[in-house]
Order: sequence, then C-alpha cells, then structure tokens
Amino acid sequence: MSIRVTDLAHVYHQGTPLERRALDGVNLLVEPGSWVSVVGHTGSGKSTLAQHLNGLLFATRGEVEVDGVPLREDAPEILRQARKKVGLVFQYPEQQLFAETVSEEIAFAPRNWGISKERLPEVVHAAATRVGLEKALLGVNPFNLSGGQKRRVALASVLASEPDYLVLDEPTAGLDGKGKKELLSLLSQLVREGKGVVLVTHDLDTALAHSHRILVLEDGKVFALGAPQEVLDALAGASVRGIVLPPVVELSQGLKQRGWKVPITPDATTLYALIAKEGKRCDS
Amino acid sequence: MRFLNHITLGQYVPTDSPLHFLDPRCKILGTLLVMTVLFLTRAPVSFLVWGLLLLALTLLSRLSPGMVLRGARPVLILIVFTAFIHLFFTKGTPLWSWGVLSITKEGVTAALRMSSRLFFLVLFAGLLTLTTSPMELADGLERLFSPLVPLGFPAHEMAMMMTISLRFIPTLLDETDRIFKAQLARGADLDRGGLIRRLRAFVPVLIPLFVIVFQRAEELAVAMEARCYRGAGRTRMHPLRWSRGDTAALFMFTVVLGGVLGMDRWLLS
Repeated sequence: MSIRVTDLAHVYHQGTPLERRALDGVNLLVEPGSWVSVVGHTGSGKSTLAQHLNGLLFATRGEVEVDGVPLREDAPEILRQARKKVGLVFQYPEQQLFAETVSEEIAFAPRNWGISKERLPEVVHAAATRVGLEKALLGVNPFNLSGGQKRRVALASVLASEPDYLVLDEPTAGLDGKGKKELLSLLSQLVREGKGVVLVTHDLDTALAHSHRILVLEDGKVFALGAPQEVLDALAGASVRGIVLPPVVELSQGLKQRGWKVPITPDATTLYALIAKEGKRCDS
Repeated sequence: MRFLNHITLGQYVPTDSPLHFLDPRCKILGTLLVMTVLFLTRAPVSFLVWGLLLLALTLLSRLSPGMVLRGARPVLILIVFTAFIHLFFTKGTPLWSWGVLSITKEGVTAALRMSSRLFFLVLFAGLLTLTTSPMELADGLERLFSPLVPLGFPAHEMAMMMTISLRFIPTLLDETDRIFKAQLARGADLDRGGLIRRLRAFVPVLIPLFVIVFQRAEELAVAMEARCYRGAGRTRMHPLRWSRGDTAALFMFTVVLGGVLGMDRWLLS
C-alpha cells in the first residue's frame, strides 16, 4: 500500500518547438502515515510531479503506481479509483469554487464518487469540522467568504472524498501565520491517522520541520532524497538553484565551521540549548 | 490528461521575409483590395490566376504552402455547404434531375465560383495573419481607422481591446486547464453520459473561469490606471513607419489586381 514513482520522466509538448523536459528520472515512495515534502525552485517540476500522482498527467517514461496499480491514460476506471484514493489540492484551490453554498461545494467530490445520500451530510460535516469551518457557514455562498475561509472550503472539498493520500501544491501560499500553522497541524494530524501526505513547497523550513522524507528537485532532476537531516547535510555543502537555507540552519552551519560542537539543524530550540551549554563551557 | 496541450494560438509565424517587413497598413489595405477584386471576378480562368497569385505571395513569405493551406480547414464545411446550395438551387439549363433536385449548368459554374471565392478569401486573409503579429495588426487597424476618430469612432479603444483579448487567450487557456484538472481531481466526470449531463458537468469549470476572468479584468484595469493609462494619444515604443517600399508594394499589387480584373472582364466579353 503506497504511491510508488519509478524513474519518472515527463516532457511537455513533445515533438514541437516548445518541447520542455520537466521531470527526469524521479523515484519516490509515499507510504500511508508518512509525510513527504517536495521542494525546489519555480519550474523545478514540483507541480508536474504532483499532477502525476493522481493521473492528471502521464509519464513520458517510467511509471506511477497507486497501491500497486500502474496509472495509464487508457484505463479510465483505474484512474477514477486512483483519483479517489489520492486527493490533490491545487495551488490557490479557492479558485476552483463554483457551488452556491459551502455544503454543496464540499459535497461535490463525494457525490461524484457515488456516495450514498444517507452518508453525505455526515461526510460534509466531518470535512467542514476538520478544517475548522463553523456549522453556520455551511449554508453561506462560498464567494462571500474571506480568502482564508475559501481556502478551508476548498481543502474540505478534497478531504470529503476521504482519500488515503493527500497531495498539496503550495497550500500555505498567501495564508497568514496563524492560518499556515493551523493548516500544517491539520496535516500532521492526518499523517498520524495514517494518511500519506505529499507537500509541495518552496519553503525548506516547513519541509524540515514536519516531513519524514524530503525530495529536492533541481531542473526536474532529483538533487537529494532522504530524511530531513540527510537532505540538510546534502544541501549545506552545495548550492541548489532557488533554495535558500533557513537562518537557523545558516547559523548552526557557521558555528560548526568555527569549531562549535553543534549539528546543522533547522530547530532554533535545540540550537539555543546547545549554544547555552557550549557558552557555559567557554566561561569556565 | 493532455487537455489543450496541442493548441497553438496566434498563427503568426515570424520569419524575415519581405512580406513580414511590410507595414501592417500596407498588408491590410492589400488584403482589402484582394477581397474586393475577388468578388468582382467571375470567369473560371481568373481563379487559376488567383491561385498563382496566392502561390507567388506564399513563396515571397517563406512559409510552407502546407501551412498556408491549413488556414482553409476551419471553413471547409462552409465552403462545401456553399457549393451544394449553389449546385442544387440555381435556375438554368438542367444537366441532371431527380425529383425536385436538379443540377443546372449555371449551378455548376456558380458553385465553383462561390466556393473558390470563399477559399481564396480565407487563404489571403490567413496570409495576412501569418505574416503580421497581432500587435502590428492592432496598430495598423488603429491607424487606418484614425480618420474616423473625429466622427466619434473609438479607434484606439478598439485596437486596445483587440490587443488585450489576444494577449489573454493563452492565459485563459492555462487557467481553464488548471480548473479542469482541479475538478477532475475532485471526481468530475466530463466525458460520460448524454449531452445534457455533459453540459451540466461543465458548470464547475465555467463558473470559476468566469470569476477569474472578471478578477483579471479588474486587476488589469487597476494596473493600467496605476500607470496613468489615458486612452488615445499615446506615443509608441515601435512607431509604424510607412516606407517607400510599402508605397511601391501597394502600387504594384494594385496594378496586378487591376490586371486580373481587366483580364476577367475581357474573358467575359
């Protein structure tokens, strides 16, 4: 049970003057109950990869399997199954809203998957509660909501399909600090409940703080893939296009170079404790 | 889903041919002349001459003849339909008849004439858009219509609207693609069931698209006002220049077209 990406390559507009190789030789495994982040610069192929995971784009070379079933363009039934299992939240998902009420909007996906009429209200309520939408908002026109609330509705509309995996393309873009924090803690909660989460982001700090595994893309190729610490060590020694190391990482790196016994870490609390300890030793 | 992956918009193909270098006004006027004379010619032989003229211009434009011919594809049905109507509904000497349907000698001529006219009309117009960028085209039209401005004709606004719409076609195609995919990911079924069901299935794509169009328009309006856009009377980055070459080209073209018309009248007499 997993999403397995093997040697994936994707070429846009193949055979035309606009031909562009967006992905090349990408391998990835997303298991239930794990959080994988995909980071990279604009145009590194992050979004292209995300769209392969539920059969919206298809491999030019290589393969994408969802729970052991390879996704193919000519197998519509398999694709429907895969799209139900893998929920995809696009960048600025609030732009996909169309229904007259919030509850209709959230009900769109489960209805498409053929859920029974009796279960529908329950599923809609569950999804709305998950993302922190009050019951009173269910009857409101989504176009009258604030930007942050619209984002929640869009997220609920994907969660309502009860997917096993959730792929999110820059879900925190344009959210304020509080909104971002709430969204990330919701994702952590979903991972604890056994869902597989793929977070596409350009924010290395977020990726380092939450993921089990991180995939770093540079120009469609894998630069690094592994646990946060491994990826961090790989990034600290190199320069990757579009990736800026978080300030705490830079600080720990600088201290380490000056002979301090600190690891390269993105975590300010850990670093602060170590600095305090090292500092005391210097005093005595 | 390779939705909209193969649509190439704006048929303009940049090369450095003499036809590309002509002033857009020269080309627009030339095309208008062609259209007028095309509908004045009647003799069958004239249409062979039109073919030769088109071939000559195609060679001059350094575009592949196939590319130019492809321009007729969207109107092929219209051309065939026109031919049929003329073939069966022209009165004259019957060649063949079956019940109410009859084909007359005049009908055959009329069918050939009208369909050839349409065919050449589309191809000559196509040659204009293949060799002139949309921006040049809009500029050219604005200048050509500028004498009407004192009469209240909004030449600048018209050209600006044309430019903006052309500019936003690729952007909106991208947006459509994105929304389409977002709804597919939510299980939307856009190609199953009967006609009504399919049309209904497009509502979740069309509504967000309309919202985006209005938002974009609003943003663009604000951006234009922020940069003090004030409509007509703006100067240009690349002002159009009418050179002696343009005069010569238009003159020669007029002479050639006059020749075609003269020959046509002589053939008919």
